[in-house]
Amino acid sequence: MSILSVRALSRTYHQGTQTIRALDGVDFNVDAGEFTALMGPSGSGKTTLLNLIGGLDRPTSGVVEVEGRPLRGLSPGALSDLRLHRIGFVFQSYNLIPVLSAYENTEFVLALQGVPAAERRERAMRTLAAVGLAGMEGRRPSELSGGQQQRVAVARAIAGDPALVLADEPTANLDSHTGAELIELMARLNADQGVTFVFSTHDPKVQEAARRVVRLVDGRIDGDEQRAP
Amino acid sequence: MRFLLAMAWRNLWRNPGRSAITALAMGVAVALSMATLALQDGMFSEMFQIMVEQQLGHVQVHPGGTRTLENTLHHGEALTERLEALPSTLAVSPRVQGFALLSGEGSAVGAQLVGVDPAREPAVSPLLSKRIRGEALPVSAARRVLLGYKLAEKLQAEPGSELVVFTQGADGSLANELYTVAGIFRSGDAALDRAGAILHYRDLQELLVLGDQLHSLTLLARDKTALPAYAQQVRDALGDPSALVQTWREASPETAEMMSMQDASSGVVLGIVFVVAAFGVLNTMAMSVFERTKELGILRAVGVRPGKVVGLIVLESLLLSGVAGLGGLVLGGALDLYLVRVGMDLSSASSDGFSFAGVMLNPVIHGEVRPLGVLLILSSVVVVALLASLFPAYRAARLDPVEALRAE
Repeated sequence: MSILSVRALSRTYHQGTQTIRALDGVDFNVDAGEFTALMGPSGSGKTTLLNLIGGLDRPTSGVVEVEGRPLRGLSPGALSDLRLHRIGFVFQSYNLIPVLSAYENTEFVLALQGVPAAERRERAMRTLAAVGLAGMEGRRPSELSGGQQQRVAVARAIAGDPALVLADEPTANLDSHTGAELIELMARLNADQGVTFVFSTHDPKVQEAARRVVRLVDGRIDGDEQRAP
Repeated sequence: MRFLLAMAWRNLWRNPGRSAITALAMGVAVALSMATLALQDGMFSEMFQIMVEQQLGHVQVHPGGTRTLENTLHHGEALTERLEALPSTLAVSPRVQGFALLSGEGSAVGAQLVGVDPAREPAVSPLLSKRIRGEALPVSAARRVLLGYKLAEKLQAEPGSELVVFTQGADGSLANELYTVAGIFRSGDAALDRAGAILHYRDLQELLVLGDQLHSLTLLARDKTALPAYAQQVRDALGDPSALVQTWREASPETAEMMSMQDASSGVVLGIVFVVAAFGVLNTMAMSVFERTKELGILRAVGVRPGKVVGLIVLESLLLSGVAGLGGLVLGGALDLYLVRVGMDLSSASSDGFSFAGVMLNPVIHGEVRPLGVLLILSSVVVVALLASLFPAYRAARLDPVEALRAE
């Protein structure tokens, strides 16, 4: 079943007198349990596509449906609720809340979801252990390495049990070894816990882990291949 | 909520210097406002005591019509006792007034004679306690007089000196009597100190040939906040429609007006706190939101509703004002305690005390603390901090998440 359905999606920006077509009629579905890489050079529209899917940005035309629910017409508050409950985000530059510890960054999403305190604690601890950060729960982002921070970001994204995790160039700020470890972690979470991932990258090594690779060029889909795990 | 509170508190101290300076400025503004308000209240309270309780009383009874020597309240003793019997009456003081020429050692000076009952007057006003030299007026009439200190200087009179009092009685006859100076007073009322002579009302009734008649009755009510109702009770008890019964506000509108300046000047003090708090919070929160653009974008991206972002910024501002208010309260409390116990000594500016609106005030001003005033200062800081944070909070909530995430 499709968790995500994108139809004829376009997004144009105006810069002075220039019109930039960041996305140009993209059609794209994601089923539950997929581990999909969006490949493409800088400026091909990967980030724009992920922002539109997550409801952070609004399309110029076209449709985005998450679990059959169209995003068009949702208020900023309703979009916030959708992200909180159904979509996890991992960003290129970690983007943790600096005043919260690793544990609190993870627990924060659960608290916003209204999960009771005892369950929250258990789930946050379990999630941090699953991303390999047991024992580092009390550290603030400034006390963690880049790879560790990105693991916290993954923990925060999956803690709330979303239908879909969107990761925008999650390995871009990491060295190749740490980047490979992170993708391995995401692949394991996908295989073991069935978390659906859509991540963008332009690193050919990273895409090797993906079971589906969607290629974007100049805002259009240029290829969509399934791979054996 | 716990998360927002923890985040707000920690965010506040991410730039400890900036938050501390803002909190310090607000705290000092609170403390200084508390001290200024205490001094003002102390000064107005002394003025109220001198101008209202000492001179006007809460309610006055006069005969209707023009105030002349002959226009009097009859059956003075019976009237006084009837008003004393009212349950809401605290005290009643009968008064007789006149003018006379006082003649002492070689000089003669015009004076205002004030006849009071030495047994009743202390319950109504502190007038008789303002004696600085000599003896008190005896409780029964004995042709003794207290002189204002400036009048005594002009007459070169001291306690024990003899004076001749020349005046004209209500029946037109001329009277002159020999009086002994009992003591010298200094009331703080400039006119009375310059020309006032206080004597037993029975002596003055005899001198002016008034029998049992009075010129006025000065009353204190048990509840000074309900004077119009009390004045009506007095009217009913008198049963004399020609008598003029007035509260002190009616009897002296100019005094009432001056007392209302207390509220106006409190307003000025509060205004200062408002401005300091508003600019401090606005600057701190606006900078803080600007610096955290990306972080606010993250919050929006992980699903924090715009309303909660507003809540976070407002909460930070409330915590800041709370810290400032608490610090200000401690500092201001210490200042107030000092002002109440020790007071502020202005005698270096004028050893005589200083005059304000015709009232000589004590050169050492003692503070008076009204809990409501302190509460008003504190709550105004919080309310202003809340209002000043709304604009930065609104901007934070309106951030475009994509733009915000791109910020460095």
